Amino acid sequence: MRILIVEDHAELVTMLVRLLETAGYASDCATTAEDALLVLSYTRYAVVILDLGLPDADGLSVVRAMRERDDRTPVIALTARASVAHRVTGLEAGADDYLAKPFAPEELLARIQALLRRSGIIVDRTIDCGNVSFDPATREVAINGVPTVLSARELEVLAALIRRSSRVVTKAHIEQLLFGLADDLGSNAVEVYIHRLRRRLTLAGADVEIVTVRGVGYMLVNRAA
Amino acid sequence: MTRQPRSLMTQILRWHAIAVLITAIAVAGSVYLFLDTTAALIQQQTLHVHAEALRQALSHDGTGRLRLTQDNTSAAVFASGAGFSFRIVDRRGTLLFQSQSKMVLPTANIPLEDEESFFRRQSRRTFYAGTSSPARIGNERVWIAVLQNLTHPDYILDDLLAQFLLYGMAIVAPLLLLLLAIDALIIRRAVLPVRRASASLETAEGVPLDLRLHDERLPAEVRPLALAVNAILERLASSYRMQRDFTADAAHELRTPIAVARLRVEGVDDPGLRGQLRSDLDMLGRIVEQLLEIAELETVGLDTAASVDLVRIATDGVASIAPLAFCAGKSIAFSSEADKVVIAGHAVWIAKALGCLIENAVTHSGEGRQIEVTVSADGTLAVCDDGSGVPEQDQAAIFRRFWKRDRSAGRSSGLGLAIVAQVAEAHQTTVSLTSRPGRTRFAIVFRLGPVTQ
Repeated sequence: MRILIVEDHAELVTMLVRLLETAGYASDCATTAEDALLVLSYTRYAVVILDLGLPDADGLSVVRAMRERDDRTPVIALTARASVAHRVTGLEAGADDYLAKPFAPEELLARIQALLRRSGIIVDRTIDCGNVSFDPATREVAINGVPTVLSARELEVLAALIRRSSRVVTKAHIEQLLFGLADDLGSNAVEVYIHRLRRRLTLAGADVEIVTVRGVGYMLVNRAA
Repeated sequence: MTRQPRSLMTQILRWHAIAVLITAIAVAGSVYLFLDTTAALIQQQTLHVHAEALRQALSHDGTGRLRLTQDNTSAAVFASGAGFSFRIVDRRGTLLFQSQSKMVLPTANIPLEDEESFFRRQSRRTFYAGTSSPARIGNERVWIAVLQNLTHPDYILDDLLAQFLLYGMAIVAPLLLLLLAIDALIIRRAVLPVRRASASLETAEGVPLDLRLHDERLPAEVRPLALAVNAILERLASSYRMQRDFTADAAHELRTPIAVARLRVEGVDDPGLRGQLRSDLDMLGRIVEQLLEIAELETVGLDTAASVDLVRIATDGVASIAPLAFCAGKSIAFSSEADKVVIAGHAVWIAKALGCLIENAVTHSGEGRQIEVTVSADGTLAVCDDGSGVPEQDQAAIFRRFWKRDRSAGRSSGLGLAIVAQVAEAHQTTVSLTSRPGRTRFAIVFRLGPVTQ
């Protein structure tokens, strides 16, 4: 799996190559828009990390040129100009994600993972949070290494939470998931299933916690981290 | 005392009208003076001719007495009821002859001088012009006085004069008015490019920086001014562009090295040091980001006219910052009076302001545990915490850039609340702060949008 880094700042390129290497990705780099388009025309990459401030052209023109010749390779735009206006035009131009400099390395890796998953290049074996692991393919849950059986609705809620662990999943989103399964639910259905799921997790000795963000939703956090 | 500035046209026309008026008076006056002098001269000549005729008619008879032999013409002039009368007197004023039409003037009022003299007299509302000329007949010296009744119907010179002036003015006055009107048109035409240039500046709201005065027909007197204004606008625009470009350049120049350093830190072996450097660099990155946000707020005019749902902005804002609050050991909650509160504003910047307020509550609420974000139906967005509060004396200062209660406290850029204040200002509103230990509330009241449900 190769990643193309389009960036003119030599040191940043070095650091990015090293970061990607430790994460298990091979990478090539181009320092100008022209080089990037040339390289992209004969090599397929899993992801392109594209700096928008290139010396010869606006990075967005690279995205546009790629999309024009029907190259759907996912692009993460890196930019020093994180103004509101830039962000909007960046996404409009066809970039798949947008990351402002400076960024936390784990954030970049997470975004790459997300893009690879979205474009079907990698299929998750399991998603982990603390000692809880969820396999999206088989829909099996293991807590502390022990397979645990959950009801369909509990599983749906846990899947949503674990996919976005440490981030808030809105109550409206969970409601939608539950109503997709059945429409004979009471108005406090979300609370009910969250409550059940909490009890299950506690009983099974999970080291994760479902935190309520009142008025907004819920978030699964790893107590150990 | 302030004087209302008068228009160029009014000023020119006003002075011009005064000049025309003075000219009219001067012309009328000098014409009158000239005509009057001429009339007086003609009158004197007439009197002189009649006096001369009388002198010719005087002679001695054989006995040494004076005799007056008037011819028909002369007799007709002095006939009874005519405008002329005469009196011939000797040195002592003794009346020798007089005309049929009686002279009303007493003899004592007639000057007897060595030279011919003309005079004017008034007697019982009647005006007279007269001459008294000495004549020597043989040894005798007599004075021939001829008098003309100026009010007599036969005397038409004054009437002529009056009529002439009246008709003259009747013709001249409209001509002068016409001249004024034509001048007004000419001035108007000349001033038009200037007015147009002024109007182009006036109608533009707040004078956009790309505006230039470039009317080719601007008069030479005004053109340097217009060129100077253009030069100033050009310079303003270029410094504005420079500042904006500087912001973008500074962003690039600062952010990339920080990004490099942030990646390099991952190679540090000592986990303690690595963690510290990470958080330092994250802080540095945050300061740069907020500095640029401040700069962007200042240079780019926000369009705050869009209808946005405050509930949605607040929900997203709380959701995105909840993990940070959780890590800091705080709980965060959101509540709204309505499902939807539509306000007029800029969604992204309101979200940023809310982010700053929540971050401020997370960082500065000390022992406080609970952060609450609320949206009211009247368009109020509020962030409350149960921390130790902001001391009264600091409440105004906290909105200043880089202000920190404790200078050594490193976990804050000191820019967040300045951004909040600036976003509020861009929305023509302010941030209100009420604080006491245990309850601190920051609130911004936004204008409700066109559609409220």
